[in-house]
Amino acid sequence: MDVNFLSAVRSLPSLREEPELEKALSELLTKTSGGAPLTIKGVRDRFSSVNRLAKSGRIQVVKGPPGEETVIVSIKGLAAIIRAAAASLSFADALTASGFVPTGHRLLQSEGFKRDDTLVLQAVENAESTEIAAPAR
Amino acid sequence: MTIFFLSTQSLLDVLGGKGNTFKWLMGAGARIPMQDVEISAVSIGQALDTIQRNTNAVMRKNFERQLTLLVTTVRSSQGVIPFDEGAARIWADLQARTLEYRKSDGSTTELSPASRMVVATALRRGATFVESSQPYHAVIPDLTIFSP
Repeated sequence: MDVNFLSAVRSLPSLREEPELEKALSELLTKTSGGAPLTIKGVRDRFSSVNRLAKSGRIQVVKGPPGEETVIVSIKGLAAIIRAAAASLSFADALTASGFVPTGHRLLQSEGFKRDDTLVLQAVENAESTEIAAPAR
Repeated sequence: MTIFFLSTQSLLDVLGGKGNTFKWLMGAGARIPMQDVEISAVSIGQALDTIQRNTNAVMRKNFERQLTLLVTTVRSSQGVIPFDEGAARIWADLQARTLEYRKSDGSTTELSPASRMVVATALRRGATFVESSQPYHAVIPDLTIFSP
């Protein structure tokens, strides 16, 4: 099984939305299988060859509507995929891998709240009474 | 799956490598999957605002660089959560409450409107809010807290 493929599989569980996961998986499988997905006719005509490639660890993708493409993979390959997916990155590993280094200094977030409990209707009434009173001065 | 939602101070502590949140999150024992950590987009603004108030230019640059790396990491698993309509409705309710916040020097103040937006987003997500123990936690029973 392709090491780069298994490495890419590790990051797939981070995609939370099902359609995004399916799209990423489809792109990854197409890339790994080395070209465009096979047609049903192509698979039927060359099944021995397709089967041999799948057994040797090269996943075979068969064309279909988005999300309904089929995949031919050996049990050994499937086991490797499941193992890779289960070992998803921890936050600490991902942060360290990004090149993150703590600054070594502590900054404090400032908090505070200026409460304004004036009721809006009351404020409007006050403003109106001021406007009315003004010409009498 | 438990989603750990960092408070802005927790985010700043991770950037600085200080405090219990950093030790917990980065410690070998935690092993929190990367997709289980979220931050509020509002916290990014608050953190940048705090960083920009720092008078030491070298330190400021370093904090900004590390913040960018951390945000990129969290974003890669879609963990930067915007302040949406649902959170805005919860925030309006939080604004009406007295939410007491204890500063590191022991004095108390009220939680800022921006921090209430962060709390509202955590509530909206049904996430576990990661923050050191605060008096206001007791008045929001729906908020699940984890204080490392």
